[in-house]
Amino acid sequence: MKRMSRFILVALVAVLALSMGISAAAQDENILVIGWEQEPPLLTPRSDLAFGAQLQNFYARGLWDWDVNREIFPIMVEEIPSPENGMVETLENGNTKVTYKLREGLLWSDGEAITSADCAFWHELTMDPTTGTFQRGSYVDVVESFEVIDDLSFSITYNVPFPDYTSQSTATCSYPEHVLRPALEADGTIDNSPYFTPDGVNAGATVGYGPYVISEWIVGDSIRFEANPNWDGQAPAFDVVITRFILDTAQMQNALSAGEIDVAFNFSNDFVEGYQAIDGVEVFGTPGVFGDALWMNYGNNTGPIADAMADKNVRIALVASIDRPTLAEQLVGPGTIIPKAWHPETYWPEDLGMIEYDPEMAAQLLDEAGWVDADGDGIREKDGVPLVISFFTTDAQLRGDFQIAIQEYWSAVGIGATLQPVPAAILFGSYLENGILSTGAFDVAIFALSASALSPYADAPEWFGCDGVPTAEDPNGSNGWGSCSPEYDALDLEVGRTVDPAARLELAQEAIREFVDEQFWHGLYLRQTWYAINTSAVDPATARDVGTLSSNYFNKIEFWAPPAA
Amino acid sequence: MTKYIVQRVLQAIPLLIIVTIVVFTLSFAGGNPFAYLAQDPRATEQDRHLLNEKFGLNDPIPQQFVTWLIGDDWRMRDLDMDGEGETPGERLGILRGDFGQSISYRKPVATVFAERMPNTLILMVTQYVVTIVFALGIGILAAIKQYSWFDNIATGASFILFSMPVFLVALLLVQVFAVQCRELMKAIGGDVGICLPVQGMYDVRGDRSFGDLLRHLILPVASLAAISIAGYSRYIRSTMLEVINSDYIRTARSKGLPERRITFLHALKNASLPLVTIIALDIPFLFGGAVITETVFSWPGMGLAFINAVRPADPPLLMAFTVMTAVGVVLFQLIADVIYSWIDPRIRYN
Repeated sequence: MKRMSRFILVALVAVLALSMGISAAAQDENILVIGWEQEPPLLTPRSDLAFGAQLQNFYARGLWDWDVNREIFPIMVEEIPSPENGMVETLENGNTKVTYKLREGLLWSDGEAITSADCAFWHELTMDPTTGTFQRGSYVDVVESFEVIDDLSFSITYNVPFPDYTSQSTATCSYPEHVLRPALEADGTIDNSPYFTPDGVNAGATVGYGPYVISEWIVGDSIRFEANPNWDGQAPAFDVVITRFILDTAQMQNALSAGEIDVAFNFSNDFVEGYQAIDGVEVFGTPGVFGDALWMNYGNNTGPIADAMADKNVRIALVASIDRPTLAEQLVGPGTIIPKAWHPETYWPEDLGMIEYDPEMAAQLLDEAGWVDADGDGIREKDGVPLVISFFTTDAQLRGDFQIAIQEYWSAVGIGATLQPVPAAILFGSYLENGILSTGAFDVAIFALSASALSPYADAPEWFGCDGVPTAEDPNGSNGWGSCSPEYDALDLEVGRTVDPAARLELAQEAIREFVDEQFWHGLYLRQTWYAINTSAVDPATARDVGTLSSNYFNKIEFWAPPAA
Repeated sequence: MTKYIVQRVLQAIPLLIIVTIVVFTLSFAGGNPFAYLAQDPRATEQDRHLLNEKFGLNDPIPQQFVTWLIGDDWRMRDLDMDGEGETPGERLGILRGDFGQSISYRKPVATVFAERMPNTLILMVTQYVVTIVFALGIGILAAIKQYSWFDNIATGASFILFSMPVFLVALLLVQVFAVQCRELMKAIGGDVGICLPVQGMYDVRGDRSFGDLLRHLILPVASLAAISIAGYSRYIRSTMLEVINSDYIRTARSKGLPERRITFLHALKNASLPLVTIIALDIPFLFGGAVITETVFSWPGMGLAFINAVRPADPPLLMAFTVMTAVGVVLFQLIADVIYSWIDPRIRYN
């Protein structure tokens, strides 16, 4: 027994001594470690792999991007195409043609030249859906032709007037043809190309144009980026950037506190105070693109209070009975912005209003609509039907908190609510899967529908148009809330076709007024993207110019620098 | 014995079929894994169709189960949405060794397992060895020294640890040995290098050496082992107490056998019979990893893969995970039965 105890003791001491004696490897490199909350399984450009798309900011830049103020700046092109510089033309038939001019001397990270052929290759892939499972958006529908003019110039001709040529259905030149073409020819698809896989990354198959080269991917652990010798932009101050995958939010904070990572980002508001409390850590936020809102089902409602939801005054009463600013401040944090419309703020009319908290007005509107509490049970009713809202959201904690608080506000004016938090897959399921939104099986729901942060065009027919309501005959629409305003549809269509910026702004403002007037969408809060930076590793002043479009957070990583000694 | 083993294997087949049917059905409870694309303006209906078709999700659920079993290389898939199949299926089915394609990882399930299993085994085998060594030591000592101060402390600590969830133990250990330790070292001007790492298998700035791995193993192993030791040691204590008070042990003592020989050869061998069952049932779960601990410590193992497979639903990965565990349970239970007869020759299977 004694011998065994001694052996165990010696073994333990040896293990501890060995592990404690190990110090970090000698560090000649200047390394930045970023905590990454989700590991992308592949680098495929798909929206469900958003954290993979964000990695492209390090190793595969695009033609242009948007800075912290959402101002566009060129990367691979000489200048941003516009009607003013003659690179955006309106053809005789009214359609749009955009000419692109790549900068001279661009090289892929393996030293090969970047040419128009690379851009043409991605056009070829996009036009054929069987060549890869990535989102194509409306590109296939709106692009008529792609023409290579010379090694550095090419043009895209749209089959419609297309004002959103910088943000949607634009050319993509981020993928090297000489690497991906062999995979396409071998398999008929690029899905199986090593370019996108950890093994391919480790074999050097992932070639791009960015300040860094993606050099090592340790599955489940981290991805390492090293400075790209063929990058012709600002030389990065950090020799190496490592993205470290940490799923647990509390551990992300601990890792920053312990100095294992230098940057944490995209954490929720609940954690801001915790990060601020860490010595030597600076926290800042930027406006995000996602905002949760109350969506009211007024045109696709077959529930017992469908008539109430169809009444605009009842919808106004529903929102007037909620103190949204107080809720946002208490549940999200001080200074939280409440969006006035679903569309990007740059297009809001200056005088666009928002329904204020006014429970007396709410009660009056309900009384006038015939919803009164005749039986004294605290819930209003009409023709024997109680005013009880079937109130859905996902199982996200913050949304649940909003649900409960709103239920209290409604209760104060005699409106009941059945709270129904469900998994996102059930809320957003398709019509054929009996998805709650698609089938209109709700009165009010809280969720975020991502609007373009750059375009005022809402693609109304699908999302808000009268024809977009999913039915058994046509289950593909996305307008489960049944909004239907022919005036808005017509205006939105014009917004989508007007290339002249001034005329477009005017039309967009008119469309937004119509949209708001329907009173079925009411913003609750606009999410912020939070960053926490270890100031002994990074000079925060160099790190504040970040992207705010959710996929471009690190689009100026080459300017991030260590603090001056 | 051979007849018994064959019988048990045959009995396991319907059991495994029932388990797979139940899990297959449950794995669809979360809805379509690509449902969220309906809210993504960049994803067209064709994109959604292509993804669903690629992973066989457009098929009725019973057909998906059949495909999972025997594959789909005998029929054509409709990838161009014209209503007619034109692309040959490529899946072979689990009965031909193909676990399918993981939806969340976009690669074969077997590849996901191959990437993760070694990391899980490093963590789980280490914690299991630590658990068995410490639990045996504490359990035996507590039984031999019944009602001593050691026994009382061990009993109290066991109850406390056994009633704590593993994530709480993990986060407490991190706070004390990683976060607060650094604060303390900074305050007193000590070496923060003695503090333990918060997460991961290696320091990303380090040399990925064996010593670095050991440092990173300490907290996750301690979190898992603390709770397991608490349970196992209580079990060993009680079985040992039963045995050391029996007549044959008293006889052995009266014959003058050394106490160590009595304890480890005569008492422990008989006391370990029920322990074999627990160990045999636990071993299959070693391969599945520790879901919570791996998540908290960002340990890139099977448990972390499982969590990623649950949200959004990844039926092929969940199914493979379940089948692996179910087969493991059946197999190791059978092994336990065989070991019973070795430990206690009185046991015979007919």
